Amino acid sequence: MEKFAVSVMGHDRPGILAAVSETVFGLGCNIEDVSQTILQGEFAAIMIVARPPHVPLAQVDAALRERLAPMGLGVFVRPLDEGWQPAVPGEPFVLTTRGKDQPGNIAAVTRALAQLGCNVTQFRAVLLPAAEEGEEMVMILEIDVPQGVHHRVVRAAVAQACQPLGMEVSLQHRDVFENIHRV
Amino acid sequence: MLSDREVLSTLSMVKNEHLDVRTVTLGVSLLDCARESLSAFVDAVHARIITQARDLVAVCDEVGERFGIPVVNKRISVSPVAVAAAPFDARGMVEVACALDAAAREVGVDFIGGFSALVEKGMAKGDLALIEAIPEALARTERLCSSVNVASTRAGINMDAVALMGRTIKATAKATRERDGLGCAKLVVFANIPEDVPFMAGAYLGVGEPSSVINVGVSGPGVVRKAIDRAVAENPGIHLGELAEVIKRTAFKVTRVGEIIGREVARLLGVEFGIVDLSLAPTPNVGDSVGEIFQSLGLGAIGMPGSTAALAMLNDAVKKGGAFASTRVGGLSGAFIPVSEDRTIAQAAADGFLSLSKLEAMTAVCSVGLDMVAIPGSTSAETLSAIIADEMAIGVINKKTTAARIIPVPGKEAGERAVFGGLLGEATIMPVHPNPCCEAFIRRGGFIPAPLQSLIN
Repeated sequence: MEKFAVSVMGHDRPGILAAVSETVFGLGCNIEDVSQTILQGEFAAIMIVARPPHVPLAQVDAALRERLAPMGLGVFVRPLDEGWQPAVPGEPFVLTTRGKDQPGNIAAVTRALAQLGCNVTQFRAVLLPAAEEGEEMVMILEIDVPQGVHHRVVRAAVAQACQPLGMEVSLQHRDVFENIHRV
Repeated sequence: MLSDREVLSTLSMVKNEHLDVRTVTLGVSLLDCARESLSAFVDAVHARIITQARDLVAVCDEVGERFGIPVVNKRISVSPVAVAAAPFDARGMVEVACALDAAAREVGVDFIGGFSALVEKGMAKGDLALIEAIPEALARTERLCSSVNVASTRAGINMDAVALMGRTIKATAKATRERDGLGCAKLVVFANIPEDVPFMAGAYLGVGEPSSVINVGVSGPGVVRKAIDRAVAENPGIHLGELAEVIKRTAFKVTRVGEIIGREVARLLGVEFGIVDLSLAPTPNVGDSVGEIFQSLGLGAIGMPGSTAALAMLNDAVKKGGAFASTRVGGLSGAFIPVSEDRTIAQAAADGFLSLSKLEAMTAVCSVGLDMVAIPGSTSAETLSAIIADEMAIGVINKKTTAARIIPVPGKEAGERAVFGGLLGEATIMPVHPNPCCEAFIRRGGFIPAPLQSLIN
């Protein structure tokens, strides 16, 4: 079985996952991993699927497009590169920022992280109603800090990037959250 | 994957509710420093502490930073000096005290505890020398803390030692009279002293403990108070059983923080991890008060009728939540009610809601006892001893730790203010009974026998 990734995106509605899974199942494929989310009514999912060797990827791609296009959904199919290795996980930290929502917040934080080789493994940005005017944005990034980079350096770099934007920064080892909230 | 709520609630606990690890205390055994001459002993003690504790502060800061939870105080506890330095006289004990203080300063810890004696069943030569040395030792040092255990449930109350400690407290107050008797803020008299307390002034390393060990004192009165406030805001009709559950869950979270930090510090220092002390310990900061928890529970001020019941509930809930959170629980583990160190408790005392009598009643259900209570400097040694004896009796009969850290403030009377500074805070001097007739009782001395361990109602 060879593996491929499928991503599907569009307005959220009932039946999207059913349409995708029925189509790939009809071609003898097996869905191994799924991650799905909905943001402001927009649906997005990514799946890792294994296909039998006699079913070409192009056939899967065509079948999915035929089924999903009438539902107004975009689909993207990509073979997995078996020789590719993901980045070596570093030490897991949780970075949070808090400040007024404005263009450039995310770019500033992620650029600072990228420059230090920190990989973002989970990312959420949440808008909170602020006491004063405007909205407040909280970013929660789970990051891997590579070996050889001290967390103090990461904290300083992100703080420097956030300072002109008026964002507060906090960096804590992930173990603290795991220990406090999970038995 | 962590949820938004988990991340945001942890951040809020740290930033807005003063969650911290109150103290990481490195226990250092001095028992193998025994030498024939005083100078050789002092050198050995100094070398031992410097070697063992050199990296303590840096490691605590590093770990606190990595987890985003500050380690507020880094401290050292040593073997009871009355045992380790038993051959030396009082002058020698003062030299040892100065060496301990110098070592503490050198490694950058804020307190070093263990200038201690265990005399519940009798006083040996070293014990007497140490107690005799306490006033001068505490006057000449800055960071040294002293404790004397005068009673236990198994031994009873050594009333000779109680009488001696009354006189010692008076002498200590006099020796530090320019600073409102500050020395007494670093001197505690105990019943049933635990061997692993990380909190000062009672921390020492028991003889049943390893050569070096990390004990952690967690805190978090602010977190508990905010959790109660949130629960009440969501449900104004919430009953006390539900609030006990809220406190229990909060104590669980706070304890987990202490354990993870303690274990990491111990790992990096290459020493054993000892215990987490679950105590809710206040500071003079606003929002970091045990007294405020009483207000959130619905009492106008700590000391009002209902306070003992509220404290009992708080103490028990803290123990329950903490015991589930950690595999190594010890120390005092409960709620501290140190008067001067807690702004709200100090205010309740100043407003007259909290009397010495009510405080004593509350100590039957709290984790320590009469703690940081300023009383008139004119209080006699016998009256001090009688107050101590009452407190010891509560501990001995109830099979719990109790302690008395009372400060007869020289030259000041009830209603005046005593200022100790820093974490030790400040307080209005509480009145003692105007005409106490307890001299004859205290002068009888001897032992109050150990209580019966059955027929316990």
